[in-house]
Amino acid sequence: MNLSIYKFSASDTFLDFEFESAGPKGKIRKIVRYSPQNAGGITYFNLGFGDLNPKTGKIDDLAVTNNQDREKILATIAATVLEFTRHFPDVIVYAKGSTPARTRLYQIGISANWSDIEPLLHVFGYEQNKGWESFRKNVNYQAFLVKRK
Amino acid sequence: MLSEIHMKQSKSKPSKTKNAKKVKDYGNDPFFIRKAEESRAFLEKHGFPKELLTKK
Repeated sequence: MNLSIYKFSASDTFLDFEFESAGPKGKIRKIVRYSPQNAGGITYFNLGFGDLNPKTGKIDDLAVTNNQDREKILATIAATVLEFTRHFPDVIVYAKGSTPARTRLYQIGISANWSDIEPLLHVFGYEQNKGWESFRKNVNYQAFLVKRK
Repeated sequence: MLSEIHMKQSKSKPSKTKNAKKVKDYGNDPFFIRKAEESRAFLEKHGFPKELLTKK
C-alpha cells in the first residue's frame, strides 16, 4: 500500500481482523469482521468495522475516537480486504459505513489506495437513483461491492 | 453458517498476516449481526451489479 498501515492479526478463519490504533487518545483496538450473508441466493461477506470496548468486549459502532490516524486506519481496512480476498478469491465483499459520513470515508479510503486496489479488485459503487457502477473517484456512493480480479 | 458455504480458499503463498495473537470470533457480536442484516436488506432491495456476478 502507498500509505503506512497498522500491523493486523487475523482469526483462524480469516473472517476477523484486529489492529491497534495509536494516537493522542491512546491505543484503541479496532475490529474488522467479514460476516457471511446471503441475499437473493447470492453469498457475499459484509465488511463490518468498529472499536472494541475493552470493558464490555463488544463493538462500539458509533464511537468517535478521533485518534488523528484516519488515513492509516482506512489503509489498514483496505489491507484486510486484500488479505481476506487473497484467502478467499472467489467471494464478494459488501461495505457500507454506519453513517453516510463513514461510507464517505470508505470512498476516500478506496480513492487514496486506488493504485493498489485497482489492479487486484473489481470495485462497484451504488449511486442513489442510478444503481451500481464501476467505481469512479469523486462520486458519492451509498455502498460498495468488491471482488478479486 | 460458514460450514454451509463452499469457499474456495487460496492455497497460494503463506499469509503475511500475523495470527499468532489470537483474534476471537466476533460472529456473535450484535453490531456485526445487525450490520450483516442491514446489508442483506440493501442488497435484496437493490440487487447486485450484473457485471460483478459474471466476473471470474
